[in-house]
Amino acid sequence: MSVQEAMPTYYAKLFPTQHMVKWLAYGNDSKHAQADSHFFNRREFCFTLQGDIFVRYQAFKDGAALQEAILRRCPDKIDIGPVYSANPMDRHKFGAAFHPVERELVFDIDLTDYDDVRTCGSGGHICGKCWPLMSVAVKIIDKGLREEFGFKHILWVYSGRRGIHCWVCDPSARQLSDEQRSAVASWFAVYKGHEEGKARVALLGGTMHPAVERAADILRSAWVQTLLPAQRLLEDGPQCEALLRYLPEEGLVEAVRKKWTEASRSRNAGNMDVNIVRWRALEDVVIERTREERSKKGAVNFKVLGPLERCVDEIIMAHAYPRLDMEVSKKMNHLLKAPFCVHPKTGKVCVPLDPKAVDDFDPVNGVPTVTSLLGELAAAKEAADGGKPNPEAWRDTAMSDAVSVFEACLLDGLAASNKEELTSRTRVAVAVGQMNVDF
Amino acid sequence: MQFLATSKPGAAEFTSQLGGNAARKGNERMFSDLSMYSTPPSENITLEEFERLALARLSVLKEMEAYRLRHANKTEKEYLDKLNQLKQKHMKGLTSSAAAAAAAAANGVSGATATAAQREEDVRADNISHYVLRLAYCRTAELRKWFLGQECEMFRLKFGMYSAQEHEAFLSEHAPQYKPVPPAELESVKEDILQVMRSNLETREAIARVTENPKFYKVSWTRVPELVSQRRVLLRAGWAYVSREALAPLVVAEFRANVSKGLSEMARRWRQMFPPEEEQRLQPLVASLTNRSLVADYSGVATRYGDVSAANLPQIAAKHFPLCMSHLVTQLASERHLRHGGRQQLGLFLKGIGLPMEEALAFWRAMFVPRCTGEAFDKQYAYNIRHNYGREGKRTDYTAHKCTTIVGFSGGPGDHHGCPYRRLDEPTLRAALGRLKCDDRKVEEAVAKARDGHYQLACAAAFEGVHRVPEMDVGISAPLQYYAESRRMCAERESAAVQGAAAAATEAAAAATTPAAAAEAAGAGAGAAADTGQEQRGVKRPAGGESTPGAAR
Repeated sequence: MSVQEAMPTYYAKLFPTQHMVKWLAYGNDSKHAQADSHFFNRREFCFTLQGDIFVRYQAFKDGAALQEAILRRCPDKIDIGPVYSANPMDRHKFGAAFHPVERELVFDIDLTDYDDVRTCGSGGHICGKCWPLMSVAVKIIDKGLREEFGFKHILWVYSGRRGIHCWVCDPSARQLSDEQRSAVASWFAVYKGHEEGKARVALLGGTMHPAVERAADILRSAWVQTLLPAQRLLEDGPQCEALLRYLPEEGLVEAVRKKWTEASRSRNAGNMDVNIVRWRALEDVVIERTREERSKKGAVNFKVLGPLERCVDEIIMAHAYPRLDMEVSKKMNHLLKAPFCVHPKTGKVCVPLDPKAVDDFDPVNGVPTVTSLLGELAAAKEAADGGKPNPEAWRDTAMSDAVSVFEACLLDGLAASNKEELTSRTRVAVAVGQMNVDF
Repeated sequence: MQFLATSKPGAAEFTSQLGGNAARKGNERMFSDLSMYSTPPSENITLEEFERLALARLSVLKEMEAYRLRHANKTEKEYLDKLNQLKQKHMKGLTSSAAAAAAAAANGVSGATATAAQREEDVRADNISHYVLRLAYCRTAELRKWFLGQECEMFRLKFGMYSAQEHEAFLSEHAPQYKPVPPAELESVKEDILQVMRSNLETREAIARVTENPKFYKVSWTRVPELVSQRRVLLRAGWAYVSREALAPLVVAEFRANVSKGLSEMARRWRQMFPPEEEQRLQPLVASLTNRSLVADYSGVATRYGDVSAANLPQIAAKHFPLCMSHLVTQLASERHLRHGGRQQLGLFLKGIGLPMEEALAFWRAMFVPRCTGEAFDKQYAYNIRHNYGREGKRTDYTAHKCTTIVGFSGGPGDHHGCPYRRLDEPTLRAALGRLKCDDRKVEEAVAKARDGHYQLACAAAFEGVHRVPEMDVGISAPLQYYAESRRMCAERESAAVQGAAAAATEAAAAATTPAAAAEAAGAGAGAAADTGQEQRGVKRPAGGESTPGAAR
């Protein structure tokens, strides 16, 4: 059965519409006095139908309406847009008064952007060897969002193919202006693209910004533990040559090569990963050279010392620092694929992932596909002995785990925050009522 | 008007009502000249005071703008001194209750009380004048932009010169969202702050300043997106730690946002701002504030310097016409014709300088030959000239265009009206100014000003270049102003030249000692010679060495 053929059943029995609506309504589906019953109805959904037909500016009254539309049109992909000032279906009525008013702060990281530094594959490829790049990105961005920006409600999602998405759902995050979104994206953008065959990372002097320093700490340990051995960056080949180009002096490269040949002849080389051995050797050479430069008589030459002190971290950052797709984060009205969609090529479901357990996430075998889910569904039905149809049948499949992660990482925390938001709206309403606004 | 009148319906009359300031908070008195303008005035004032305050503030803003444009490289302190000087010149003692305050001081009330009263008066004048101008300048995007720019600049200047304590007091009063970081908390983040500074390669001095005397404020990171995007700030749980030095631009941005919001809000509700019974009276007054020329009326210029006739017009034009008019005269002379826009612009100006209608008809008729015979002229053009003089049609006495109007004119390739500083390309402009015998350095200054869109300042530079005078405080605001200044200047020089050699010698000596004394001497001399000088408020009297009789020869 092809993915397309399986989709109607997937949408009918497995897609957690109720959970999605619960999330995107942010408490406005409740009976609370300040709940805005039109809130959900102003949210844009975009359906991609078969043949890459985009149907933008869809909006739905409630979960039932959304469910009905999904079943009827059976989209290949569902994107979520912003909440607008009015129902997107009526946008022509409002002209310039129709504009986005609220939207989660989102991030998109794709492995394709790492093609120059991963050796295991390229393009849509993903495997256990390059996933560490994603998992380290999740750790860095997640920690930054929480500790530096003070956000709490952060949803991480595996995009179904070769990347990850992040949805920051705090009320304050949803209210951010485009300028503020750009600022957050730039805050995390240490990797600044490529120049002369090298990745450009924004490290200035010998001192790193505390935020960058924190990221570097995460990267340094991940580098030797997983990234370097998995990607085999220092084994002979173009990757290794490219990496050596980050060394600021020609002499260093020579010294490193010499040390590598010595190490390969020594006896215990066989017991350790050659990448690690070579990395340690490289570090030693740089440290030695730095010490030499520092102990020189007279004033310190920062022009020489600076690049020396930076180069080791620069190599790590250039190869492993999260490479964000900035444009996605910058604008309120950028669409992003909804969680729980099915990737039309791989059949994999776009499942939430727990940032605390991101190292254990297996994007190859650990992600349910639409076919595997339908199989589990059929098996469960058989086991139930053909009794009456069970509307909660998805609970017997791997979808249940995915939804649990969704609840634990996002919905549970949001419940309290939604309530607080509605209550504060009450306070404002009362205050406005009492004020005699004159001017 | 809603922000002037109280909410009581009957209180909309503009009567002077003293003591409306009693409710003002004590702390505000400390900042008599700095405010976020978050509270609109809510008292009744006379119509006259309303207008006077607005015009005074407008003068300060305009002259400050001109000063900045001409002196791009002064220190902040010098700009502030200039600003205070302008405020002193235009704003002091303007309010109706200022007199009361002065009287209180005279009646033996202690000095401190009098000073406090004076301060309160300043605050009041500042607030009212700001809001009246807001009302006048909220109407179009262009006006809003200008007003906002000037007000922000003024705020920035003043705020920047405050001490640490003043900042703290001002912020706690007007912008409580900026919280000073308590010492204990600061201690815990100090190392990280220093690391941020070092990572941004800040100077040793800046870092030392923070180490010795750290003054930090805590703001939501969303208020400082620029600092965040460049990673130039420490973030903790959504708070940004901003140093006092880095704070000023933020507070200015806040001020800008507030005023900008207030302006667009006001624009939206412009009509509702006026109580119905006052609408007829106030609306035109407020609306006219923006294109009110701040210089005196030049109607007197027509008779002061003798008759203007078709015969002596060419000499007068060569000597005293601003470029927009001399350009038209030149084109008229070479093409023997001008299109309608040009005829109107020049014709009304000629009427303004005192060319009688009969002479005007003679002038135009002569200029149109040979392209147009006398008969054809009478048929096609004479009516229009008579019309301009109010002798035809609805018999309106039309006045000459001001710069604001002329700058707004556009036209096709065959049209020569409009402002030449706007319409001519640079080589043509240079050549035209050369024909006026403008000083080369001033030609370049004028061209540069024109390039930046400051056409009236360009015209002022040309005036200075043609007449070899030191600079004027404001731009030229009407061709008639240029003409009047030019005539006055020449009259002064002529009369000074005929004065005794002894007087010239003493004044030259005065000029050599101090420029101020020279200015005074020249002014006094001019006043005695030709009773002018005082009316033209916006234009500085010719001062400095060049206008002394010695140089005039």
